[in-house]
Amino acid sequence: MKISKAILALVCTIPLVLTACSSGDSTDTGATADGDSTAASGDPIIIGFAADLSSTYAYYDQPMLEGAQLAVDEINETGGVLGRPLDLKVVDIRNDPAEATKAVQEMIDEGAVYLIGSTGDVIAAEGAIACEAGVPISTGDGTAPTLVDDIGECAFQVLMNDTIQGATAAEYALAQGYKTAFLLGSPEYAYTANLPGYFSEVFTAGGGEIVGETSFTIGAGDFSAVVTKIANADPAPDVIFTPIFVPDTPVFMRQLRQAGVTLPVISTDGNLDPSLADAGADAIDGMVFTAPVCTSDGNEDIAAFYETYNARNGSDPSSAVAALGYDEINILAQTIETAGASDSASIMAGLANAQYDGITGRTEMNPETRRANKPAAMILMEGTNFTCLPAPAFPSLVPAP
Amino acid sequence: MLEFMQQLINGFSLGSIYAVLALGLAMVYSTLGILNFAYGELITIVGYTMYFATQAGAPFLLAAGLGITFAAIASLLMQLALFRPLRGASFVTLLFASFALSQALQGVFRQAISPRARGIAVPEIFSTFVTIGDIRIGFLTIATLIIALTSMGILAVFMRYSRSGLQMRAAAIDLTTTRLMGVRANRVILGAFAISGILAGIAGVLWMARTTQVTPTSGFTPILIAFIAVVLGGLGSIPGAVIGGYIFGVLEVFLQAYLPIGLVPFQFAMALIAVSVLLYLRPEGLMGKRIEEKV
Repeated sequence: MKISKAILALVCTIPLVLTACSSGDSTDTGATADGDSTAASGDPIIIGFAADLSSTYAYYDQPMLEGAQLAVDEINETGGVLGRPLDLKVVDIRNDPAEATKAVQEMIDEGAVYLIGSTGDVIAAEGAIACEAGVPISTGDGTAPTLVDDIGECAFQVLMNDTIQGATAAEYALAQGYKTAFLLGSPEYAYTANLPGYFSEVFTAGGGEIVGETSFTIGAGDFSAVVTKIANADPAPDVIFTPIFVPDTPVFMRQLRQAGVTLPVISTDGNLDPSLADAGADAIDGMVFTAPVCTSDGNEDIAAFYETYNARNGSDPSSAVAALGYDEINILAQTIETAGASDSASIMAGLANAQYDGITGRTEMNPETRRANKPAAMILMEGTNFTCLPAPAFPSLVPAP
Repeated sequence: MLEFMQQLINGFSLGSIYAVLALGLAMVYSTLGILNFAYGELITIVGYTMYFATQAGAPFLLAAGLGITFAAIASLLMQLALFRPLRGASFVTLLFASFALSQALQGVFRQAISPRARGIAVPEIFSTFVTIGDIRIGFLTIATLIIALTSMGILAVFMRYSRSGLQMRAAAIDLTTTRLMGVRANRVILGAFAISGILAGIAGVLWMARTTQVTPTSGFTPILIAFIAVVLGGLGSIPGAVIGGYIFGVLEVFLQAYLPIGLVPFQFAMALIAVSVLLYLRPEGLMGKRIEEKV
């Protein structure tokens, strides 16, 4: 792909891409920071992404892919990793565990040394194959901290996890002066089952009280029963905390407001998608949620990422999650460069201790847990606009998974 | 008690959508003996029609009217393009053909539009509620109940007193004899599909007003429940389908509201167990007639 020097120069001002550019310098292919594109050569380093691109988790896997692909393209144009190009193999597994198993097996057979996991539950199936073959797999945009232990030694979570965002949400609620909270979770997934617990642990430790709890059915389409329970909660809470995610959130928020419930709602990163605005300003104005990144505060690196993406694709990525996919590939590239080897075992050893400053913030991997210590961002809906709240500090109390 | 009353109204409101849907399914089944699985896609068609219409600036009522019209046209096309050429085929062949059509349409929506949900703008008034005594009920909940009951009432009058209605009822009892008496089968069948499409359209509008978004698989959940309602009420019984729809709506809301938190994910399974028990006690369904077929 031919791109203008100006854009490439701009991209190279991003610290993490400097890594890619300068690492290109150190290789025989000799890419230079002034933007001369020098394609990498040699055997490609294969990365696999068995993604859900056409069903529920397309909301997260699609932008992950968009960001990852941009990072791969940039790295390849500036000399590759260890002088070799990256090859991102993608299969749409439609959130089907059988398809996922097959796709991951094929990717490993073709020589994939690293896998990006799907955000959906199929990651369990993907992870089982990956660990058996000794190939590292990330949790993709999956934030449930239990995923890493459930999958095994080969799993890594390079983004903020639910214990951190649950704690951040609780500290925010306490700072707002909310004394009582109503929890709405769902036992169906680890994400929706455990987040209310993480929130509640930090909220009650800080003097707050949980006055009610109920659960919803994911994808129900009708939340009237749940909404009626919240409307009749006695005593009425100060705030509702729920890890509900798109496409359910707009439906729930609308039905909640339709029932005359005007309580503030705090939610989590499953809402980091433009479709949240479908609920309309009346329903979501004032809603707050935690996220791995907030892209609307004018951060230079993020702005450059969007600009580059736009220049190449003619449109914005489908959501801010793309920035995570971009960082993940760059973390991998740095890990391989540092290790000087691209085999799965070296990548696993390197990832466990990786430290990286990306466009979504600083990632510090904890070698004990194989999860990242990374603060969450907070987003406030002003009408249908996603606005960044001041970046929260890393929570002082992080619950155990 | 107050919450119980509110949940009961929620249940009846949701149930009335299922009832209208089940009624449309039962109309076609009683005349032709076809269980049309692609019926759910009519709801999706309503959703996308409303999405594109509101995007183009059409007011909600016009979008809803267009949605119902398109659903009726699509229902007629299904009969002309799929079921008519297959007339005389076995029940299973027709069921599978309709299932294939359903999957094909979902694929078309996914490729041609998007796998992601599309939001449908609804009027402000849907966000208001009315207070009756101490009970607070959403405008949409009440509107759904009234629209569904009115539609079903109009259909009942049409079936009871109009000439076409009489022909359809006769065809439902015995299509061959009805044809021998000079009734044109194709007309009766098209009539049944048109009514079925209009009912799917009305239910689709009510469902879309509630969920405010459409995905390629939007029709799946409601159609599954309509199927269960039809079987529960008694295959072939039109009043039975309506009763089945209401029972399932109330069951769904009450299980969601009153099951312990850990059991809520099994809400649908429990509703199905309840249906199984009912069918065990009354295999012909609530309103079905016990028929002994001669072999």
